[in-house]
Amino acid sequence: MRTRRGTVFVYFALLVWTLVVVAPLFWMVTTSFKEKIDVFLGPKFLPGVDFTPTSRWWTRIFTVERDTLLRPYANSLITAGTSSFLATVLGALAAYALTRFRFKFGPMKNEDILFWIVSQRIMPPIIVVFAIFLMFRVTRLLDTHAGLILVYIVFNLPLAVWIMSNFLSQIPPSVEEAAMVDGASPATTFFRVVVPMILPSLTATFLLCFVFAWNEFLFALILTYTRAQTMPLLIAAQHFQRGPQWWDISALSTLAVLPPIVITVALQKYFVKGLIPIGK
Amino acid sequence: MRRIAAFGVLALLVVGCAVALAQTRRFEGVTITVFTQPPPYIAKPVLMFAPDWERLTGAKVKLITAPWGELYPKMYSSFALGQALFDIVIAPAAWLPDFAEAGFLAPLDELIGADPYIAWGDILPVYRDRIVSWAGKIYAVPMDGDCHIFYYRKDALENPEYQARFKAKYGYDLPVPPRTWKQVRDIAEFFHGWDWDGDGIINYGVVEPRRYAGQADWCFFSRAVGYVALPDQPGGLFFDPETMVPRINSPGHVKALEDYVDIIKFGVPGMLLMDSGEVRSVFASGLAAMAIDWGDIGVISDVGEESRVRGKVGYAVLPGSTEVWDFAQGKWVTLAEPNQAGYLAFGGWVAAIDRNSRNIAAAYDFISYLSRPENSYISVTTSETGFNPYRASHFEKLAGWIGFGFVNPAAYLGAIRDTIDHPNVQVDLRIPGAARYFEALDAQLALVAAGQKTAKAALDEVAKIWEQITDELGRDKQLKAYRLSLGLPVP
Amino acid sequence: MIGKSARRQGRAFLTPTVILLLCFTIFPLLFTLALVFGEAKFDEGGLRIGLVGLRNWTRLVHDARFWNAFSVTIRIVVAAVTLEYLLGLGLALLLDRKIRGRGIFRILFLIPMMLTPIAVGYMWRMIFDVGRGPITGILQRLGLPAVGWLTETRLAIYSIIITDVWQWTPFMFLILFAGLQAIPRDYVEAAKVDGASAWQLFRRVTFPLLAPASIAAVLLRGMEGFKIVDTIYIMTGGGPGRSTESLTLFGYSIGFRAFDLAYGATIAFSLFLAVMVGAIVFVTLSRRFRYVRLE
Repeated sequence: MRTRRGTVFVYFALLVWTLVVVAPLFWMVTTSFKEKIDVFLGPKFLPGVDFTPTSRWWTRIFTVERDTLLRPYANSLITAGTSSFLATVLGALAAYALTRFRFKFGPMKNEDILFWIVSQRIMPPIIVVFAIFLMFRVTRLLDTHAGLILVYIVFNLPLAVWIMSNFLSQIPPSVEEAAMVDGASPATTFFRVVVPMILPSLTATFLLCFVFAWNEFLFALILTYTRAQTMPLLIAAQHFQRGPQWWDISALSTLAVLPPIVITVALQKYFVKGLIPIGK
Repeated sequence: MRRIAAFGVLALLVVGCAVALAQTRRFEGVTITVFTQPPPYIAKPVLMFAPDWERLTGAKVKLITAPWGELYPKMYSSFALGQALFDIVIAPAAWLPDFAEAGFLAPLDELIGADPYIAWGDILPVYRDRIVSWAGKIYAVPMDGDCHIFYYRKDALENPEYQARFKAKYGYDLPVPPRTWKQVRDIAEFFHGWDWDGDGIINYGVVEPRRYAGQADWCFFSRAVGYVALPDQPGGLFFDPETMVPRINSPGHVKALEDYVDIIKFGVPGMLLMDSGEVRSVFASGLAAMAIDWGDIGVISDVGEESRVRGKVGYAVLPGSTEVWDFAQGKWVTLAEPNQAGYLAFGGWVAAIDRNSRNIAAAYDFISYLSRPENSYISVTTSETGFNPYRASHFEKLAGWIGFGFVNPAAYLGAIRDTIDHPNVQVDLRIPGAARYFEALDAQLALVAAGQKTAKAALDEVAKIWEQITDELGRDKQLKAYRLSLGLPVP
Repeated sequence: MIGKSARRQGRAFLTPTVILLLCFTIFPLLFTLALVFGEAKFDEGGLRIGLVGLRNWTRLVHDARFWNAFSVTIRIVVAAVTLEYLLGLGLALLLDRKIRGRGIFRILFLIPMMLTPIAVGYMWRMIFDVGRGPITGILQRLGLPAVGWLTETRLAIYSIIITDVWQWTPFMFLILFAGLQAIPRDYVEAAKVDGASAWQLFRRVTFPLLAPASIAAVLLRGMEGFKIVDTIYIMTGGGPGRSTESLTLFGYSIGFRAFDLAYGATIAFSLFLAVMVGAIVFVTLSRRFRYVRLE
């Protein structure tokens, strides 16, 4: 396994997959630097060789179109960030309760409650979206950050609870019990003792929830108009009466992928460690 | 004491002046909301004219938008839930019957009658009398005039050498513009697959929308109208005006659908999944010889920056057919001259007011401001508004069009005018549930275009679904609405 | 011992979650059920739902378009999830070694998952474009004819699958990689000491110990996959014909574009049932593999 041939094969395979990943991305990024006519008379591959790159789309995004762009970007950051944070916290609390305390709601015991929570993820958004539209209409939550944040929390809670409960069930409660015997309340115990131990799992959950919320389309489409518009909607809106505006779509998509990447790089240490117990 | 009195008089004077000043602006403090699709298309004129109107009236305009696919459900539920979330909606004319029938809209007859600026008579009769009125009342103001016209590349069809080769191959003179779909097919075949404009890139015969949910259904009706709509027999396109039986599966429609599928092989590669927007860009980039569209191809070809066909585009009324399906006689008849028709596809965008709005007067004032001749002329001659001409005055002044960038506005406007004024002009389907009827057709069109179903089977299926929808919505009600939309007397 | 009040406080941690979930699922579920067994009429009084029994279900069962959407969705999910699993597993195994640049590869491989599906749809629509896409360009340079990846009825569904695999293999990779890290080194070392070959090691030790992760990955991805809509909507709109129309897309067309709320709700509900049944079946079958004995 540590033979030279083995290592060469490994590198070769990895590079092949790298190519598979990078090639489409390369196409997308270079398209954002093409003149319209270069897109229509394509395919043109290499900037500088097949076509003369232009920065006008990018410039336009950051100057003339800045307001159209800034709001969705900010909206996406706010809704995805807040909802993931809250989903993580609430999910962790719920998972902690389910793994440390006994529940009985009628015939439902802990495992059943957990199953119910996780099964909410099975619910396809399209079922509930119109009903939620009507609910928000009545409570005036349409086109608001708060409304979308609430929906994303609910949408991500099952995932958060699942990941956290998997992790927590691996950790023996001895440390917390010691703290609680010393007189600490459950809340204090949780935040002072448990959280540091489960930090990797928390960050993993946060990241997954963030990515899902950041890229979510259907709820954002139905539940917002203009004020709370998110990035995926903005990208989809670049399809005017002239057909898809490939250059703008490419530029905006490139911009949209940056925050998740940045967060992933920043939190990557925790990411993998946090998901380990799922494999148990 | 005297100081207090003096102060009091001064205060009264100040207040009095303020009140007087405030009252010179008619709608001071009022906010009206306008709901339509996101800018630029359709919403841009709102953004263009709102600041001036706000200054004149003291009111504020708030623009709320939602993507095209969301407009209908959001408008409908907003009206139905009764909270007048939007004062004004700018919506496709085809939805007007649904909204008006359900009592959602405010009738505008009196407001229009009392309006000195709107120049109602300047609006072309078909839009004025048939598109924005319902059951004898006016419920909207036109913002945009829609019809389908036929586009072709002059540098291809008018080239003498190609004309000679065409005649040699097909045995008749290349008609410019073509007047029947058979001719279109031959021309498409002739110009398909070689570089006839000398730019080193292969060209193709036609480009038309075929994508599901891509407005292909209007393209189909444009192709059908010549086969089934005779000037003295109203209602050929959709239903029998006596019985409300669908006519969508008539032999004429089936033939049109077969043409619709047959021409794909002479189309730009990938045409099967193109929607009407993409078709425009493709034609403007020079790949195809012919196309069908609203006025947008004309605009993009001469004004758009990706256009490589500026000044090379010809415009015409939609081709038709010498073989026509005569409903009265129940058979095919052959005419000496091709039967053509104008098809007011989509009917245009119109502005209507929610009956529950608390600012009906202010809302109407804004709509009127947008529609008055001078302002609407600017809208139809500014790029990216999506508004096409609908007033006589739009067609008469050419200066604005030339300034807009058109090379040959007279020809462009001529084709549109000929279509709207055509003796055999056909309006689009304007009854409640129009969206549902069209959706049923759209779904079947996609199957036939992909070769998964025959034209006859598909249209028979559509007819069946249309009957179900009619029964569900109330046969008599639909019949009455249909006759109204055709301008026929209602028993 | 933990006191009673402490226990109550601990239990209260569950409350916010339960309340939120109830609020957002009870009413919508009831509303949807009402629509499924009823019809929706809008009039001046607002939205009225009248119950009509099983009419929507009869219509659904006899609707060829429904069965087509069902078949399309299942085919996409099975093919895509299988490929994603195999590729994800391969990548996880490859990166489970000490090689240089491991961290960079890991981040790079995760990127496709970070893109919004709408953007991925547009990107691959460009790439697959029969006239102007890079694949056509490369084929032509090799002297081969262009291929209508999205416009050929038989091919379109494979193009959708390819796009899905490109985007979601990282997800499988992530979970399986974490699972691999969790395998205690002792087992691996013990097996190697016993003289196991690479394949035997994989088959007897690695793969079985990876079972929980595999199950979780396939289940999660399968459930998500059933809901596929964004990419299809952008790339083919369900076409050519109906060869790529998924259940969610079908439900969206009926419920929102034709505004037939009751039937749209029925379609959506059938999707829910399908996923639920699939998940339960899968979990039951996989329970047999959860507990591994190592001889």
